[in-house]
Amino acid sequence: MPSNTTTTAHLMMTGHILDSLTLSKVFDKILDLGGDYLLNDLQIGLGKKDFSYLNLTVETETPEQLDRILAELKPYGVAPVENASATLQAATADGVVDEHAYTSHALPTAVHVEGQWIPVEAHEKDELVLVVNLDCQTAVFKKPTDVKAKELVVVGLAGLRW
Amino acid sequence: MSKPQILMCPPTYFEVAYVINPWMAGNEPCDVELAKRQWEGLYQALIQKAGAEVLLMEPVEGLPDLVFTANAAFVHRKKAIIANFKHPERQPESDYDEQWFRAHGFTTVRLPEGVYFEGAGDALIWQDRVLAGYRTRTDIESHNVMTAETGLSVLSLELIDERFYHVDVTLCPLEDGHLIYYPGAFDDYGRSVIEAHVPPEKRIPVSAEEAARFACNAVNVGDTVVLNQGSTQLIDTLRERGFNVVPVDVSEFIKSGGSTKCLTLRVG
Repeated sequence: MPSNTTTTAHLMMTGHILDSLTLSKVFDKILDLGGDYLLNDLQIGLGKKDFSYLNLTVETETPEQLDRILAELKPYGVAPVENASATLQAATADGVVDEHAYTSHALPTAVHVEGQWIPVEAHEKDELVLVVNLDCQTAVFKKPTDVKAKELVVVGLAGLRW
Repeated sequence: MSKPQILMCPPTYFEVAYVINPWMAGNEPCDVELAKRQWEGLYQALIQKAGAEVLLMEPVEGLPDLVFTANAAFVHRKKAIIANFKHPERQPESDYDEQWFRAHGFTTVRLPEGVYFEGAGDALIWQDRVLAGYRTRTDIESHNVMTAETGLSVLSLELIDERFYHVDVTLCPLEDGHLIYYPGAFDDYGRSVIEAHVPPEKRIPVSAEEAARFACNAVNVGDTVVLNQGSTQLIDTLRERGFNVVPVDVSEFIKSGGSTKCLTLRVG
């Protein structure tokens, strides 16, 4: 994980970013402007109307370079992860979660909810969903079958940090 | 079978009162009486030649660009996503637009504050998708709202030339799958997106000269295409492909940066 925050930004984008080649354009612009990026996660929308979600970390040599890259990327819907809260959907029954629940082998370290970053409990990598408890301010990974009705499950990549 | 329905707004208060696009600067003054006759010519062409039913909204004094109804909203079935105009001069139009749609039985959607969107000027339904422009007047964030509200997937096309500031002056999808478009309005990514989704035999590229005469800003109803006169290459190509082409003179509206498509909005 990058440690110099003045030349690092955690960014996200969502939409029909593959079909529109917006994703390719963003990657190309970062490199053209002298930056580098680490792809943290990409979830591809499989249906025509499904969105794809991208979370990436951009690194530069100078803060000025990063500022320029951020300004260039803004028109493409790229935004700091901090600007977006995680989308939470309540499980409709025990073991029943939204089909777009976040599941990935790249485990995030924190989730942004109601203006606060909640640390995510470390867990072994598997096909897990991320459950947030707002009262306790906790975020834990669970197997979908272990989710209880009304528990809040993170959907998509918004508000996640690696 | 019911007739296609098109919304127009009479040019009672039309004039070029400010400059918010490159076409508005440096012209001879707009002849408003000529503009009214030209608008009537388009109105009659849509009824007589295209077989459409034209619905009218009330013009409003102080809102000269209300005449460009294409920007009022993006319409899909009985839902209208109302414009959120970038320029203060046009922002008051949104409330009048929404009033019209609600009065005519549409569900309306307003975008989040700070997300600009200029209606069907920047979003055109093509088969089961939307060809949507962004950058100059519309924000790409509005494209996700369109998908969420209509279920249509969106192909986002960056507009790179300030003269072609809405997607409807850069391309025109025709009902039979053809696409009229000006390649120079897009970057390599945009052209690749168009070429990936439109087979070569269905693409009708337009020259820079004819694009500057708003050739792409055409109204298509069935096999009839109504567009600004003077784009002889495009007119010939369309007629060779079997279209009934109706050229009209909208020169006074071009002084404001709009042509036949800008003056209309398909609502049914």
